[in-house]
Amino acid sequence: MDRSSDIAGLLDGWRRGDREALEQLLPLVYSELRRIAARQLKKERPGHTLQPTALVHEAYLRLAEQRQVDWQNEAHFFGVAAQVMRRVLVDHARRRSAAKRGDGAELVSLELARDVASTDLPILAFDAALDRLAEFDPELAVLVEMRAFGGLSNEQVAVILKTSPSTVKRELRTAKAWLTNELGYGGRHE
Amino acid sequence: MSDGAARWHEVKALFQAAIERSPAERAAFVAAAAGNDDDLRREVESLLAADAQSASIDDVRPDRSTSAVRATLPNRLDQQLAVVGDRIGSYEVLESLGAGSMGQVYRARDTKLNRDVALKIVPDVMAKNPGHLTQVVREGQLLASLNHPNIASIYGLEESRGVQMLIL
Repeated sequence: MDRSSDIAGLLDGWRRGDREALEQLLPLVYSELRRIAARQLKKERPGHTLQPTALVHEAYLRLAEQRQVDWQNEAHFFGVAAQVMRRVLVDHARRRSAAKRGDGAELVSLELARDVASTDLPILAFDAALDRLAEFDPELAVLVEMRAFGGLSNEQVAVILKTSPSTVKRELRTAKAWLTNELGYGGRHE
Repeated sequence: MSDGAARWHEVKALFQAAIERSPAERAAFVAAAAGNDDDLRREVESLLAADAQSASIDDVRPDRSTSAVRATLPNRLDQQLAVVGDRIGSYEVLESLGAGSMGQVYRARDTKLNRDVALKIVPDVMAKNPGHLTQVVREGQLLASLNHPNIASIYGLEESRGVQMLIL
């Protein structure tokens, strides 16, 4: 069985509610995203802004190929992809930083980050802030991760977290306010 | 649940209850709900301030006249940072309105959302200093609050091609 039909089979299994399929899918999604991201990052100029959402969508199109995936599974896929994308981008920024080819302050264009700072954010600072948020509100950190790195809509996030879109919206608004202060974009910070 | 987490959930619950109220009612509501717990009140107020600042584009915003912003600006132009017709990010510069202490202000067209905004462009040397930027944000909030005391003030702080801008 070649790799792509392997992935398609796992997606099918997942769609039927096979949890093991999800476990097996994760490393495959990870390698696929890494491959796509590596190609993008190679072309990257210093100071270039990364577009994680575009990468995730490209990975999805490759993985799902022509197959019909129902939208609930599509939402789940983006939930997984968001985690992977965050990992890929952070690893990349750390490696660059270690190799002294960058200052570790690579900018990343995140839908949510734009709302927080109205600008692109340094990926490592954003990642560290999310880790701190996860210490006292892990559910909220996951929600932010899905919106920021996976390009999921409020409706898709609501499906994954088994809640309503209006709750997602309210939680997101809370997270934005917290991140604005945490990242030093709030007016109270000197 | 750790102490920190329990505390955060108190802050979060009060914040979420506060944003259900109109901006004018929030301060009194939070003060009453927090009672003697000054830390709780301060933490929620700080979130509310950040919320007002980062209000997203789907929130309702007033149609603000740039002439009110113009009236509060000193009539001084010592350095041109943009000229009419310039495109900065998605903003097209329409006319110069004046200069404040921390940068130049222009009337501009937001080509994405098709609305007129005031753009405050911060000179590079100031933008590199976080303290200056904080002051620019404060100044923006002050300007906006003069016109609409109860409504979330600035549209955002944006960066394009190394130029820092405050969207009013």
